[in-house]
Amino acid sequence: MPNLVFSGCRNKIQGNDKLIKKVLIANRSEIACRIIRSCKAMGIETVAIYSDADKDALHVKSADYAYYIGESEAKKSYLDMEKVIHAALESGCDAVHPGYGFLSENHEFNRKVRQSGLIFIGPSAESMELMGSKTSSRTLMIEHGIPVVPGTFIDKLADKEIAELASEIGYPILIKAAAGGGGKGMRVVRASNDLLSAIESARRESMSAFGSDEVFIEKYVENPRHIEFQIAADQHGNIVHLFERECSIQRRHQKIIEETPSTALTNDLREKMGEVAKKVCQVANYNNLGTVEFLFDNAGNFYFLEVNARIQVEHPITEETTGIDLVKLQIDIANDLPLPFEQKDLKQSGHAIECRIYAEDGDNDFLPSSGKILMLRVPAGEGVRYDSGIETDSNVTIYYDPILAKLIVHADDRESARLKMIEALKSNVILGVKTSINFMIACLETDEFKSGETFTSFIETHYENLKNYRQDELLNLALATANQYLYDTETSQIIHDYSKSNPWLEMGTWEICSKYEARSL
Amino acid sequence: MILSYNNHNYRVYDDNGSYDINKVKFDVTLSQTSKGSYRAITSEKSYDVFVANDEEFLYLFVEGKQFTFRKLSEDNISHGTDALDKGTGEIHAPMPGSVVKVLVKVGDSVEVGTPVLIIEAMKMESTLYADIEGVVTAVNAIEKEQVGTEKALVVIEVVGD
Repeated sequence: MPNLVFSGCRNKIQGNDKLIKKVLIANRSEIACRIIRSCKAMGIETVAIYSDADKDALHVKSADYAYYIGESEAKKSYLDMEKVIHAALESGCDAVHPGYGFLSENHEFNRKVRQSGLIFIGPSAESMELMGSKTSSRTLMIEHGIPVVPGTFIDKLADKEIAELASEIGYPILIKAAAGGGGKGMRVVRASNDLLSAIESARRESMSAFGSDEVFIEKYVENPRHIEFQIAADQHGNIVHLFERECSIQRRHQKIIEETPSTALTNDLREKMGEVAKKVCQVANYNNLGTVEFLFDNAGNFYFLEVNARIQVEHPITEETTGIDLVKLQIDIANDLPLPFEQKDLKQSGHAIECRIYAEDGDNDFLPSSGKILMLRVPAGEGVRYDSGIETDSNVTIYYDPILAKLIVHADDRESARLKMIEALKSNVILGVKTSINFMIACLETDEFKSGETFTSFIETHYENLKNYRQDELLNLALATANQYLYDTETSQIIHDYSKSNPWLEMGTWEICSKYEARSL
Repeated sequence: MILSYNNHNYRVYDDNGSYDINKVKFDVTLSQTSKGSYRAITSEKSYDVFVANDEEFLYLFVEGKQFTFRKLSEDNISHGTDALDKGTGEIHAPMPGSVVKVLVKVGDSVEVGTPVLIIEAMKMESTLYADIEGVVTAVNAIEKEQVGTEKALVVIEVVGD
C-alpha cells in the first residue's frame, strides 16, 4: 500500500468514485428546485421528499426520484429526522442537502445523517451546534473580541429575573429564538408589561417552527441596517468571503428585498467587515458555506448577530455578482475539495437585487394567502432570473412558509437593477393567491429606496404610504376588464355548446349540386 | 353587473366601448389577446391585464397590482351590506389554520379590540380581536384544532340593559 496520508491530494487519490452521486434534498418549494438544478448540472442524481400536501409540487416533478415521507404537517414529514434519513438510505443516496429552514440548522439531524453513513452537505455538526445556538456563538465571539449587541439568554429563569434583566439592558428589547431565523419567534417589546406575554408567544412560535422553545433577549438597536457576509470555508482551512448582502427591507423581521453591494459600505468598511466575518467562522472551525449577519448602525458601527449555517434564501444575488454557483460550491466542499479560489480572485461585478415573492397580502399586514395558482407568467430577459417553487395549478397550502418564488435581477449599476426589477415584477403575473409583488414595486419606487436609505424600519415607517399602491388608478381598468372577461367567458361557453351539438341535425335540408352550380350560388 | 371589492360594490355596464362604473364614464378599449389576457388602451396608456376565476372569485393582475372581485347579484346587495361595515360579533379565522390559544371564555365581557383567540397558519401567529363590545356567548374552538374560515370561533353578543 502506498502512503496516501497527504491531505492536499486526498481528493485526487480518492478518485471520482468517492464523490457524491445521489443527493436527497430534505426540503421543498423553490430551494429544493434550486438545489436540484445545480445537482443536474453536476451530473448528480436527485431525490425529493414530499408530504401529502406536496404530492403534486414542482420540486417533486423536478427531481429524478421522489419519496413520500408523511402527513402535511411539517412535524410529521419535513421535520421528522428519522423519516428523512430513512428516505435517503432507502433511495440509495450518498448525501443529504438540507436547504434552508426545516432541519437545515439542526445539529442533531446533521449528526444523525453522518452517523448513518451519509454525507451532510453543510458544516460539521460541532460548528453547527456552536453557531446554531445564538447564546453559545455570542459567548465565543465576545471571547474573540468580535463586537456584539448587549443581551442575555433567559432560559430557566423566573419571570421576575427576566424582567429585571430586561430593565437592565433597557427597552426596547428584542426577543429571539435561539434556534431560529427568518423572524420566526421574534418579538420587539417596547414596555415592560408586554414582556412576559411576548416571551410566551415567541416560545410557542419557535417550538412550532424549529422544535425548540429556547429564546433570548437583547437590546433592540433602533433603525439599523442588516448587512451580512457570505462566507465559504473548506475542510482544509481555507476561508474566503464573497462580499456582503444588504437585507434591510424586512417585514416582521423577515427579509423581502435584498441587494448587493450595499450602498452603506465603503471599500475599507467592506474589507474590514469581511475580515471580521472570516474570523467569526475561523474561531468556530466552520467548514462549509455560511452567512455572518451584522447589524449596522447609523454611525457605521457593526455588531455580530449570528451565523446562518446553511444556504440563504438570498444567495442568488451573490451568485449574480460573483459568478459563482453557491450550491455547487457547497457540494464541492462536502466532497472534500479545496476552495477553487482565493480572496484576491474574487470580485463584485454590477448590482443585483432579489425580491421574494410571498403568498401574502401586502395591503393587509402581509396576511398569508393560500389557494391555487390559476395563472403564472414568469419574467424573463437578460439579467432576469426566477427561482420558482410553483407552476400553474400548484396548490399553495397553509402548512408551510408562504414563499412562492424569488425574482433576481442583475445589471451594471444599482439604478439599472432597480428599474429592471420594477419591470420584471410588473410582468410576474400570479393569479389565484395574493402576493407581495405590488407592495415591493411600491418599495422600489420610493425616493428612500432610490437613494439607498434602506433601514430595517423601512416598511414599518412607510407602510401606510406603500400599501394599496396604485389601487385607485387601476381599479376602473380592472373592473372594466372583469366585466369584459365575464362577458367573453359566457359567450365562449355558448359557442362551445353549439360545437357540441350535432351539425347533421341542425343544417336543415340541403341539396347536393355540381361544382358549377355551387359557384353560381 | 355588480362586482364587490374590499366591501364596496361597483355597478359596471358596458356602454358600447365605454364603461359606466357607479354612474361614472370610463373609456377603455379592451381586446382579448389570449384566454384571460387583455390589452387595455385608455387615452393615456396601454396596459396588459390578466384575469382568471374560480367558483368564488375573479382575480386580476395589472402591472403588479392584484384585484380580487366577487360577482354579486341584486339579491346579495339587498341583504346586509351594512353588516360589513360594523362588527358582527362573530369572530372567524381570516384563513384556515390551527388554534394556538383561546383567550376568552363564555361570560367574559369584551370591548372592541380585546384579543379573543390566537391562530397559526403558515408558521405565523395572528391574534383575532373582538369587533363589538359585549359578552362572549359561545366559544367554538379548542386549542390545536384545525379550523376553516366558515365557523364563528367566538360569538359575542351585545348586552341589553
